[in-house]
Amino acid sequence: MDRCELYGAFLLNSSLKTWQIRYCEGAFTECERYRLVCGHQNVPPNLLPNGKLLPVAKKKDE
Amino acid sequence: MNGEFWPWWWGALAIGGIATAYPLISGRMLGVSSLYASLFERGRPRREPVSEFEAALMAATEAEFGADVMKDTTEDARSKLSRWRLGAEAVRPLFLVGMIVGPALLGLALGDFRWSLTLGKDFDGRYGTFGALPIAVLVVSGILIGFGTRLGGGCTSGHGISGVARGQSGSLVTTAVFWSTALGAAWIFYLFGVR
Repeated sequence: MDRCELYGAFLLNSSLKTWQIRYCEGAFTECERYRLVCGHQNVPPNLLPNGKLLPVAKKKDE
Repeated sequence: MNGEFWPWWWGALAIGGIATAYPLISGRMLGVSSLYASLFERGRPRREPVSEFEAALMAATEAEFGADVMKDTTEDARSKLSRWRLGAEAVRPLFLVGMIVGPALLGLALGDFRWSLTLGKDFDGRYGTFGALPIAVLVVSGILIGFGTRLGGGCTSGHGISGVARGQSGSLVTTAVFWSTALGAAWIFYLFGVR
């Protein structure tokens, strides 16, 4: 979790924390980002745990 | 047990037990300062997205979990996703009351219980039992503790017990910093004769 770029972003507000509850702290094996990391593949910065891609990626200062 | 400290391992078992049981029951990691802070955070308005990225993430969240989640507080959403749990909302008051009632009941059972308005002879000897000074010391101490724990994102329980047990790097650093600071401060006071 410490290395996931999106984990910290899910703390931006309470609604976003639902992702953490559902995936990071819950069914983490269903997280697409986790699956890619386990398969030693690159994780797109805008990939959501549900496998969908965000239209914009997180900037470094966000 | 009269006049004696309770065995240290009672505390170890109690802390280890609650640190393990609390996340299972509530769905959240144990952190006492966060529990107290949450008492004053209800009804805080939801912040609007501040960046394009956050706005996109909010839209994706609504698409994934539904519009209701966007209106919920974290605890409401958490309890919806984990109905089998009591939920943090229910466990919080139980925990906070238990921190006071639990030791009192144990003290009664062991014959150690007694009412007292003091904080012990060390505190009383330094600041007095009643009056403006002990109250001022407690208020300033409370403000400093509250500021420090919010700044550090947790306290001795949240970082020192829950975070360290999970091997979280931030908690390891935070715990090392606050313990070394406390030890250093205690030694400085000791060396300068402030007892």
